[in-house]
Amino acid sequence: MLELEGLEVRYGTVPAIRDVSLHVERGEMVGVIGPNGAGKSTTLHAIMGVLPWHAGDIRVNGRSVRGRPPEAISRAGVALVPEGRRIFGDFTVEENLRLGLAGRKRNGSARLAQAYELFPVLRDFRRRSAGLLSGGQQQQLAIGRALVADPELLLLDEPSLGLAPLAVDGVFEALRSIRERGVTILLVEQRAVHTVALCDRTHVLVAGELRMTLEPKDAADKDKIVAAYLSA
Amino acid sequence: MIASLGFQTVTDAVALGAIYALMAVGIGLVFGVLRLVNFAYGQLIMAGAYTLAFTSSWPAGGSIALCVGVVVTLSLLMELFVFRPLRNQSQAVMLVTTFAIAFLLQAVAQIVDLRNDQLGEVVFSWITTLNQSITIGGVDIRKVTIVAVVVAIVALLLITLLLNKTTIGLHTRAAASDFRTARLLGVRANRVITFAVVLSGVLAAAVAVLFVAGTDPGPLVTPDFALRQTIVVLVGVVVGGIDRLWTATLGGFAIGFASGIINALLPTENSVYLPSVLFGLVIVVLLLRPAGLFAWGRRGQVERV
Amino acid sequence: MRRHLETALQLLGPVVVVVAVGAVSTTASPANKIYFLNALVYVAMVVAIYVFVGNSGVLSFGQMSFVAVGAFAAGVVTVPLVSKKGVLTDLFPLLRDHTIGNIWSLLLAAALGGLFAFIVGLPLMRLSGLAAGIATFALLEITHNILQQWTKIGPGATTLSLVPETTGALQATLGAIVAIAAAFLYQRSRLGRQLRATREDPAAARGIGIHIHRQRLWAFTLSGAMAGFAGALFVHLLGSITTEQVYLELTFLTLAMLVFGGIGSLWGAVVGALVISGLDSFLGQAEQGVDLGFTLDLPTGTRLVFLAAIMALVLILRPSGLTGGREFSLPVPKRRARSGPGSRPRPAESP
Repeated sequence: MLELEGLEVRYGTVPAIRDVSLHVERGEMVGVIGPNGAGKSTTLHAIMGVLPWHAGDIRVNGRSVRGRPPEAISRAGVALVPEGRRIFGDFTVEENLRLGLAGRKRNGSARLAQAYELFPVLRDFRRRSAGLLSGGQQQQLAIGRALVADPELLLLDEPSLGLAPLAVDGVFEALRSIRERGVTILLVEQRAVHTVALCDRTHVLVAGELRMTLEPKDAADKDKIVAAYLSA
Repeated sequence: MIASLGFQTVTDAVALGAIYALMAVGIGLVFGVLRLVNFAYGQLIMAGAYTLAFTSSWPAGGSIALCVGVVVTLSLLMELFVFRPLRNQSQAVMLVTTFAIAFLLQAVAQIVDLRNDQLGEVVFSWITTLNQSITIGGVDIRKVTIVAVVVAIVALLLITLLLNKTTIGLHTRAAASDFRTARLLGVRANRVITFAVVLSGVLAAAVAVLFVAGTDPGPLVTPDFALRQTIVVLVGVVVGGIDRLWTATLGGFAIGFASGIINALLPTENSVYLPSVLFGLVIVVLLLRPAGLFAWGRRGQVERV
Repeated sequence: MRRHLETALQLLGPVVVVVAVGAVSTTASPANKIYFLNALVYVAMVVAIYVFVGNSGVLSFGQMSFVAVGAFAAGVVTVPLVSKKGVLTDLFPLLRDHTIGNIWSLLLAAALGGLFAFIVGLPLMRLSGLAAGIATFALLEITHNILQQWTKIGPGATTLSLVPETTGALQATLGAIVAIAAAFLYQRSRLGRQLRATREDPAAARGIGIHIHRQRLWAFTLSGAMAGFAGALFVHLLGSITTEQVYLELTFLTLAMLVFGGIGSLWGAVVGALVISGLDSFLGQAEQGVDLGFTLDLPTGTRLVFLAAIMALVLILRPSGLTGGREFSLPVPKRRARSGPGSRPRPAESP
């Protein structure tokens, strides 16, 4: 349901990603790993319509999203959990979740309830300022906020960034649950082993280009993963 | 010292502060979502005042309704033709452009004025009633002063409710806080901006009515009506803290109140260097608290180097 | 070789244009001559503002304070003794009993402008963004207030008249050239480049050891000196000065000229000043009827409408200004357009 074809995004005249092609079928969970600066976030931003792209195409459910603004892409059923979570610290937890609804009125409270079910701690904190949550809890809020939009495709940008190991496990657990509900997921991550083990397949992005695709069975093969990162 | 000024002066100053607070909200709302300081805000108020002047023989309700209509329409036109194209430009460009618009509207008004033999002294039937005093506890207060304060309080309450309890209000606050992320979540940028602009226009209309009603005797509707006030409110807003709506509002109120008190003090104090002292104070405050007098610990829009 | 040529052009271009304006002014009728000379003085003012605002990226509404100081200083010290003793009786004896020559008054104005800018810049240069805007606006108000009230240093609220009108075509042209040269030398110097670095990315600039406050202070001081100098040119052109003439309206006019021309480049400052001032003069004439093959007769008061409308329109359609923030350069011959680094138009920022 998501298709990237020969995608190229530039910063000024410098290409950040080049000739990136991948696809995600409905119900799949696909990962993208790679070293810092590889262009992983850039890819997600391009899908979300935040960055313009210079070559190639991005198709959601068969329709190209070229030139469409982020709010339109969001309404097309794509939700992004941004890098660094970017929650609204001055608002309450519940207000943050409501923001995810972005005016979609139907079943608003039902969807909020679903988020609370997935992340019970959010219910406890619902009227408190979101800035008071811990890193791990904020990440849950960010994911919950994206889910509340009832997306068909969920994009995550390094959800485990800056989290304690216990919280990281929590995040990956949550992703497993979400996947079971039938949400299609594209996961950009730094933690290579976790990601390769969890996703149906994982692409390795190095210096703007896709180098290799890994399967869950490769998760134990550290050498293969390292070689992928270092490939020239 | 304040006690010696007399109750009338203090209430007048409070009323002026209330009106300036409304202007501060109008300016702060647009700044919040667009990061744009609208220099032409005063001209919106002026347009409202002129509408009232031209319809002075109408019943109050009709006149005010038309005033709101004209001002909101003008605000939306400004958004469409000026703010929208300039959305990603630097502060300098936005400031100068809105100033050029302010200048343009002022010049247009000057022509209109000339053609109509200076609308200067216009008499509104409903304003004369408002300028009559009522006695409360042995003290004379003009009705309009009370009306101004009440209208301001009601307006501020309504806006607070709108922003905090409605969905569009939530979206607007989110956009003001982090526009980019708000869009990512599906918040419709144009809708939010239109909401802020319309609200700011309604406030401008209210301010026009209050100004016109409050000037005694008979309002003076001139082209540079409210331009000076915009600058004063801007100073107040930045000193108060432009980043948050409530600090901006407080700043607006503070400078309005201070202006009122000082204007009353002037004849007795006769200090010609008062502006220097005041602006010197503004500089001192900005040096000590660049993010605003009432802002706490936030870096916000301004930075010290 | 090519780079040296391009750099030289960045200076020569504006200078040649200014000289052309000066030359044309000598052929104009006395009534029209003042428009040209006014334009040249505006060039000096706008370039002075540009030196600070363009290089630092900090918006200042206070530069007219220095123009005012320069204008009044140059005016007061050059008014003939006879008139001073008669009219400006309240002056400090030092000012009242002495008179100096034209060139000295220009130098004095520059020195005072620079000194004043340095002193107020010490605290003010710590601010950025909106706070800087409001603080510099406050500076303008304070200067205006003091000049309007303190009769020991000037005429106060009345007009200072009988100032020798020494700004003719030569002085105006040379003055504009001096301003352009000063701005050019500054922006190509190490100081200028360091300041521009802070404009692009303050954090990175700090990271390589650039002292933001200090760099801004240098530019502010130079800007103040140049503004003072321009103020002196101004008062010697008009032969008189009032505090209202160097206050709000001039502040916005000169700032608009800069933004309109293109805030990031010296060429932008020059173009903006000349075009707007030319437009203003033309519209002023048109209000009285002008012959363009057909007669254009604008109703009174519409001059401001058109001027503001044109400025707003240009800014909306081309926010980077007429020059796009680029320095003066000549079009590159097509065959070399795609090869090598030397053939692309150079943005003002490159070393």
